Amino acid sequence: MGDVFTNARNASAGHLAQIVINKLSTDSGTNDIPDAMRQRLDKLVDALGNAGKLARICLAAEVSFLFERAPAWTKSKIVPLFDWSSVDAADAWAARKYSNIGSPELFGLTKKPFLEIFGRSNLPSDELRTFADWLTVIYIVNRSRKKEIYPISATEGRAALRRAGVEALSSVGHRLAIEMEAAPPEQKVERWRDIIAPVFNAIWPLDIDLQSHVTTFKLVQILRATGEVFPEAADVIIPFVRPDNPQSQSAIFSISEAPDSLYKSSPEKILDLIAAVVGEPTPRSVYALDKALSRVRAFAPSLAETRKFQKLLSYALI
Amino acid sequence: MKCWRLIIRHMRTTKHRTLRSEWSELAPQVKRGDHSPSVLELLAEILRPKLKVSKRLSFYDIGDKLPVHPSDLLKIDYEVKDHLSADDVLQAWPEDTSLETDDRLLSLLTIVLKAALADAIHVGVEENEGYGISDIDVPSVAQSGQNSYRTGFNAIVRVMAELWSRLAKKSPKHALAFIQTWCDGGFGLTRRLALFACADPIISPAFAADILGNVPSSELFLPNSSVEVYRLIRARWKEFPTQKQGAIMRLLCEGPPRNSFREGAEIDRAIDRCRFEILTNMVRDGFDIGDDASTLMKDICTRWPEWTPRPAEQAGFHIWHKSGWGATGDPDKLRGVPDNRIVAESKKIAEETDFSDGNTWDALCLSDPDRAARGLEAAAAEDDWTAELWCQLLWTQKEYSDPDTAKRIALLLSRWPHESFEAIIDPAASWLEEHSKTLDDELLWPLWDRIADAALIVEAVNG
Repeated sequence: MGDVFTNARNASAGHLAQIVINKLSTDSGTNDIPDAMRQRLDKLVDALGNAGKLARICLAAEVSFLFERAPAWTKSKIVPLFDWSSVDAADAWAARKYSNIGSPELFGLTKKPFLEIFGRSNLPSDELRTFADWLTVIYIVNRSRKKEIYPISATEGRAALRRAGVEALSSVGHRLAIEMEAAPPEQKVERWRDIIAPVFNAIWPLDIDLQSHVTTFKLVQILRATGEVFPEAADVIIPFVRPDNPQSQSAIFSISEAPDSLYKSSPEKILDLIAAVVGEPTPRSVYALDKALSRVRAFAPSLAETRKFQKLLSYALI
Repeated sequence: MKCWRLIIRHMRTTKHRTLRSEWSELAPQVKRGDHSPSVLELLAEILRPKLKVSKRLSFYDIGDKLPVHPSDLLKIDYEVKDHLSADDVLQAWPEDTSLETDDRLLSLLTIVLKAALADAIHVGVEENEGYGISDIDVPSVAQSGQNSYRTGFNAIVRVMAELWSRLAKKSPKHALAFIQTWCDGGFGLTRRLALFACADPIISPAFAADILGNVPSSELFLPNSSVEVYRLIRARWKEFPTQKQGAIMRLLCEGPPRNSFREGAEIDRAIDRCRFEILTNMVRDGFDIGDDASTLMKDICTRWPEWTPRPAEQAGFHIWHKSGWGATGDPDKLRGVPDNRIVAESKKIAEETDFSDGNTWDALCLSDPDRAARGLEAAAAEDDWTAELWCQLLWTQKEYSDPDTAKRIALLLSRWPHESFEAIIDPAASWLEEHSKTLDDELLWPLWDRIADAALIVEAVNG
């Protein structure tokens, strides 16, 4: 089955829609669109049959731009396409993922069907991951600025992610890790305390059955990026870390290669993280664990005598 | 039971309609020099060939035979995420990366490759020695046109090969260590990597000869490792110590072991062909193959007088793919024809010539679209609106030399007879989008309205 948006971009109706969008984007900003253009947009949106559908899907993909350029028209003609009662909704959202989130006002208009996405059982996984990413970005933006806040409460985001399940959490973790990694060393504390920690605490589901090895690598990635605020971040994140997939072991490899500053800041917390990531595998099976433990020992020799350390050592593939 | 396990594994690991590309997210990080462990891990994971199970299609009925391997019931392939190619990765991976980073990535990729090969052997589509799925995926470890459109193990092996070459320039000592690791792996594909590496002049001739002499003798001839064997011999034979040359030549003259072939095959003929190919190539490359091998060659040529060696570029390849665009027309056939006659002349040529001679009109649209437009304009003036010729011009994305050509085409499309306009709606809409930024509004919008009226109504009726 083909992607409707791809079909639309290669159909006559799609070409015609794109011409109108191109011309609107080159026309210098007047407050509203000329009547002739509005009539052409109406002709596309109101067309019957497959042609109309393909035109609408092309326009739906550009809803952010259209809402900026022609808010009233977009509100009445395009925004309703995203409501799940519309027959075009699934294809409109599938096309929308290639675009951007848009303004808070537009988000407010589509918030209800957007949050409903996370409860739909038949949504393709790539769309679920994209929109989970958007959700995280929205919370990050809201923490980062005082004006033009996206209208969404903390409980709405967490409830959506609870419905979405594990796969969406991986995207959330990925976005938080990228944001944390982007902070220069001197801003790590501020970025963690003002943005990443509040967002994590607000939206990350607390349900035990949603914590799994799927998110382990991403949680470790966040912690690796925290720099000097690692001990504080570890207290927040380690409770959600589950043993990594024994066939992957990428998380422990990542820890073993973490910068010295992380080990130095709190060897105890690093050991806690290693214990959470490793779990209880078969003895002598975990690649890179010996390196990670050696580094812990180098920074805190006394830890090597602890029971936890000795137990972990027995799992190391030497 | 094994098949069900594979199907369940495939269902669990396959992401449905995944359009998001992990590589597109990772590539910017790789390009800007972020080579942290998490990035290297993810890169290795993306390059890891992953099991793909689908319905088996075969021209042959297996009849009453009981299935023995999962591949008797299922189509089993290995594929790489995002259809990533080695070129994508190598272009993103900076050449001036530090030695340690290259070394780390190559180590990771070696682990990942061995794990994937072990998995393929467990699944039953790969063998430690002999022809397997990795031979299909990797026609050549070195760069070759034969690697085009290959997936599965191809990307990771090509990245490893080129990465090793870069590493060899930075530190021969580090590079040498990988050759030993690859030979010790027990996998045919990693031995192919070692053979590839041994063709590099930084490797001592004696060491390279030892590696070549120690590969299982079937791998000198039968799987695609023969490509690397030929390549290594071509590059280094003259440097090999004489004693080692003699030992290798004896292996080449013996040919592949008889037990490499299935029962019922023409084994003697197959062994002769293997020896014939390598020896004729060595002679062609100007190497002295010695008296024994020369005598053997004469015997083989006596037994099979009809045999000729494959072209030099195909040395070692068991299968050689070639493709072309088919016949392209010759626009010179319209040279000297006045513009107002080229449409009529093109139609006449099309009627008289064979399909294999290509399409003259198409060739004209590609080489001189302005002239093709002038020809169509002249034909239109005589009420000749041949949709087929118009479609070819409209679909051709070539820049016009004459700034007025696009305007003339737009005007002509606006005047197109109503009754046959449906035939050119799709190419006209596509053409209009392509030129929408340069056409004046006075030309653009009337044509837009005309196409919209036709397209939206036609599609609505058909829809």
